[in-house]
Amino acid sequence: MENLLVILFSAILVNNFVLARFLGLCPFLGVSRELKSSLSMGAAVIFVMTLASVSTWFIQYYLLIPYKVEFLQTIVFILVIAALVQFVEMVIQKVSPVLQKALGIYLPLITTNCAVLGVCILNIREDYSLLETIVHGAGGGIGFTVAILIMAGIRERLSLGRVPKCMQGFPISFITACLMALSFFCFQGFFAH
Amino acid sequence: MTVILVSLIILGGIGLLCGIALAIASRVFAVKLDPRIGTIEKALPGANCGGCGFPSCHAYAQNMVEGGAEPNRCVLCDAEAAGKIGKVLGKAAATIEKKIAAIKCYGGATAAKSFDYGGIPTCRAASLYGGGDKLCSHSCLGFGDCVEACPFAALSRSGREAPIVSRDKCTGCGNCVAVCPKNVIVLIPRKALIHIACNSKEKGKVVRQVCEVGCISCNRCIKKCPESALSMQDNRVCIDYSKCTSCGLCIEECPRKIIKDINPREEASRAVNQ
Repeated sequence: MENLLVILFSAILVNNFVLARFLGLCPFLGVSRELKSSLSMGAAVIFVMTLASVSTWFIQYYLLIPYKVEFLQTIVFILVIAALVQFVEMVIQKVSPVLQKALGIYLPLITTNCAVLGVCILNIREDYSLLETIVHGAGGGIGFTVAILIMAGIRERLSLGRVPKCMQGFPISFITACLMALSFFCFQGFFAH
Repeated sequence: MTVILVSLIILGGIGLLCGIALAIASRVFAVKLDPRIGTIEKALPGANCGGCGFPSCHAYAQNMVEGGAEPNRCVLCDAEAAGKIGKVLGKAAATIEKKIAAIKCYGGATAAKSFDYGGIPTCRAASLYGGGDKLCSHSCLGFGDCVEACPFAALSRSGREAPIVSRDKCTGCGNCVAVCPKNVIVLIPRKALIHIACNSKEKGKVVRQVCEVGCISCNRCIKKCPESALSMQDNRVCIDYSKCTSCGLCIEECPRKIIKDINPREEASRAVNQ
């Protein structure tokens, strides 16, 4: 139990996928203009990361390892994640149009995102069990959501402030992201003792 | 050799399985949309301006088919397009009057100021500081929030003067009306020629002190109007366009020249002057 909590919080804070591992920067900067859309994005990432973690865990231990083709990991993972998310998108569209509206275009948008692939490969590298994999996937998604929500809040304020012309848009966003990464750096070694 | 074969089989197998599964899923989980929605959406302009009261053209089309919205609410559609949509729905589309935005204040640059405003250059921010930097509390603030809100680029401005509405581009969607913190913009019938360009609710004496182009409530236009289309409400001249015959007597009578002839000829000459 303690082990699971450590995995969850280290994925959220210490090894935050965006701010410590620098994965998934594209949606992090692209969809963080408004709080509302970044919340939808975060929800989609939590969903896809958990789903991808579970499915790739099974692929790894029941297909790739028995047939000794672990080198196919990256391409097989991407293929499976993309197909699975597409499938879930279809099911959601049929079963719950409300949920589909909430997740919107973000669900298919992040299927082949590097953060999603990253969490799957890290699960294998850390030799997580199935339960640990699920927790790590969800934690990674929650960490992404926390980071993108903070970023969106700051950027909403920034859009009202006076930013020098040469710094408007992406330059000031990168500096904001850099300062956020520095502040998250304080969590390093948090669970060491 | 076996490694190549195994990896080919695994990768190809997974790809094939995923493909078949998705193909089946697309049949099983297909969502049937009313085909009329697509037909109507094609007839709509696709500008997503929100003039009809729905967030997008798609939402309006959906609501027409499922929610019973009237087919004549699109501000961009002409009578022909509205009729086409009505035919798809099996309804007769009553035509609505086309409207155009008009700005009820020409004192943007000349009106006296009460202080120098140096904050965020938007009307909405400026109006939070004691109602803005103009002495007249009903004046156009001239930071151009409406210019930015217009999805058709129909408004243009120079400096802090009141924006100019382009007759060709304005569709009467009302986005500028919603965004103006001073309620300076109104929608008037497109065929109207007379427009009263003062928004002040103050008494004539106060207006005289703060603005050179404000209505001083002298009532001369009201007395002159042969159709009694003009009336005074809250020290403001109001016009009833259903009675107005565009005779132009009030334009000549107004001592402050705030009653404007807004037909295309006059706008063209003003554009040249600028």
